[in-house]
Amino acid sequence: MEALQQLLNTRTDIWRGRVQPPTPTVSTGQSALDQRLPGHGWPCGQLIELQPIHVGCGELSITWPLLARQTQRGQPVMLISPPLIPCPQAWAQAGIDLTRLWIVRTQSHSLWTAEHALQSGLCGVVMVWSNNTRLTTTHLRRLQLACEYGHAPCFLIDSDVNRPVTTFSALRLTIAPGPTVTLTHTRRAQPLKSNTLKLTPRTLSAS
Amino acid sequence: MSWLGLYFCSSQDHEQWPQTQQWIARVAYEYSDQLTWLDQVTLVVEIQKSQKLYATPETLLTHLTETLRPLRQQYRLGTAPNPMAAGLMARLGTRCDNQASLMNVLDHCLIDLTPLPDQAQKSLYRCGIDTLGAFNALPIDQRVRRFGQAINLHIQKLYGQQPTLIEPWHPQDQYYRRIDLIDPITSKQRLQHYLDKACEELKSWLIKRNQALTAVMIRCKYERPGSANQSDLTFELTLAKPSFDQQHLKALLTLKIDQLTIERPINGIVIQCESTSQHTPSSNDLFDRNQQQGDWPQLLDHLKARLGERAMTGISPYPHHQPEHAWRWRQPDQVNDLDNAKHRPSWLLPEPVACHRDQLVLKQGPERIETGWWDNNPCQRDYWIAQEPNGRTLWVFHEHKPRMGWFIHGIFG
Repeated sequence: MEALQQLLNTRTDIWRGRVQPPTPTVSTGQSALDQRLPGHGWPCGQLIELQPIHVGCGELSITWPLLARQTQRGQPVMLISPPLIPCPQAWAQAGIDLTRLWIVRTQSHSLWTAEHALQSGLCGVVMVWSNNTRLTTTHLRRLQLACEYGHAPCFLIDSDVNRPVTTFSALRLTIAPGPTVTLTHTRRAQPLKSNTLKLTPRTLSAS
Repeated sequence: MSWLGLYFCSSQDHEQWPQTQQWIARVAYEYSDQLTWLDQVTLVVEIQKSQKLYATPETLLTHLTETLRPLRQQYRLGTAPNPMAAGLMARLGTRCDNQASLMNVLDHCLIDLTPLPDQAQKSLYRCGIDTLGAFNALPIDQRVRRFGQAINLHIQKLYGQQPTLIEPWHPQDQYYRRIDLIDPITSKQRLQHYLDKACEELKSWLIKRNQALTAVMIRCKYERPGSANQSDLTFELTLAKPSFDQQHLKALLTLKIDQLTIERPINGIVIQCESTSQHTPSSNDLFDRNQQQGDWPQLLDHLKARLGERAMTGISPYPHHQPEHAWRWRQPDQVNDLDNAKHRPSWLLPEPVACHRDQLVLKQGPERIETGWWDNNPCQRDYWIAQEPNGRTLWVFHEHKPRMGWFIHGIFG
């Protein structure tokens, strides 16, 4: 029975009634954040919505460790329509292998690009900035479906306050300067307790 | 040896004939590598070697006829044991599979049916020689003396008494295809249709030349040229990895055509390509773990076809003393190594933006940058790490030269 359970746990595509198979996760690289997230890490092959209050208020400091690890393993990382210019010196200092970093400079086709990159299943991580695109539930659903083709977590970064309430993503995090991370949506049935976490530079460096 | 001759009888004076000749030769190249155009309208192909592949000569001929059907050209076929005679047999529409039957046909062949020049034919007739057999009956020294070495040699080659040296035709080194359309194209679907057909041909060319495709240039000519700067609709496809995958190429073309606007009817398409022989055939190894790596260039091609060549890029540090110039868009495989290890923000603004000093709390600094004094382009700045009232950490500088003031240059994200 134990063996069967283990075998079933490795499969995410078998319906098992109320028993939710655990989603495979990868560590965020920060133990404080890992402890708060369901499954103790970023869910693989899932859509993660990041909602910074302002551009550049911490969305990179929480994702950089993962990007660094994936690029060092030789997996390409794709940044799709970032709002500003990634400073190569800082990214390289964060341990990111720039030879694996692809930046897609497009305004109108960012979601199309993301869908294709995810469906190929070749990227280590995909980060999409919605910029001024008004996201709808359909967009989120399509991205989530595309994510399931591969193993890569996809981060969708948008600051739109009118974003759809219902979502198909695995996680939704609001980020305030600090960075202070608030978990506003997970797929868990129970409501979250103490879902706000302040990541001080000390906790970041300690991990 | 056994040769097949094709004689094209419809009038060939139009300008497209050289193109068509190339096409016919490419088709014939599927059957043999020994082929040549004897004259403008006669093609001879060596078929002995490929007869093993096709059980009988008839099967081969049926195949060839089938492939030449879309050409809608009238032609006659003939076979003979030597190339020169094969050309003549094609004119006559006769098939001679051995030397004896060839001799028989040639002996009775009238002089005016041969491709000999008019002058030669006249001089033969004047001497009462009206068939090749009559000529051949003369002693050899008389033939040369009375009619010249050239005529004698030509007829000896027909009989196979002298060998015929042929310069075999080879597919051209550069692929170039021009399609002229009688009915001009106005819709993308039809353009796609023509390009799909061209893709098939391109693929067979690549395989024959053992080449892999690196880029395709397509020029669509408008029926009535507009102003000088928009005379043609041109586009280019470059592949990240040399390939001859027809399906992939078709998919890329579809994406590319999707982006185009056809302003006026198109009446001609020119397709050129760049190719390389430096390629590794794709392996379909079941146990090859690196299979996915091979798909990455395909993904890049796919994205580039839709977004444009320059949309897919990497970023590289660049040795420059001014931070706004210390980076370059560059393909990820060409990035420079990191030059220094100064503390830099994760995001740079495209241009520094002026700001007010009183809203910022300076946290760390200054880092002085003083450059350009040597080329009269002085720049003097103090960089600080500062905090905004909302808590965001910024990279700001206080500039003294050339302008005064405070500017935001980056964000620590």
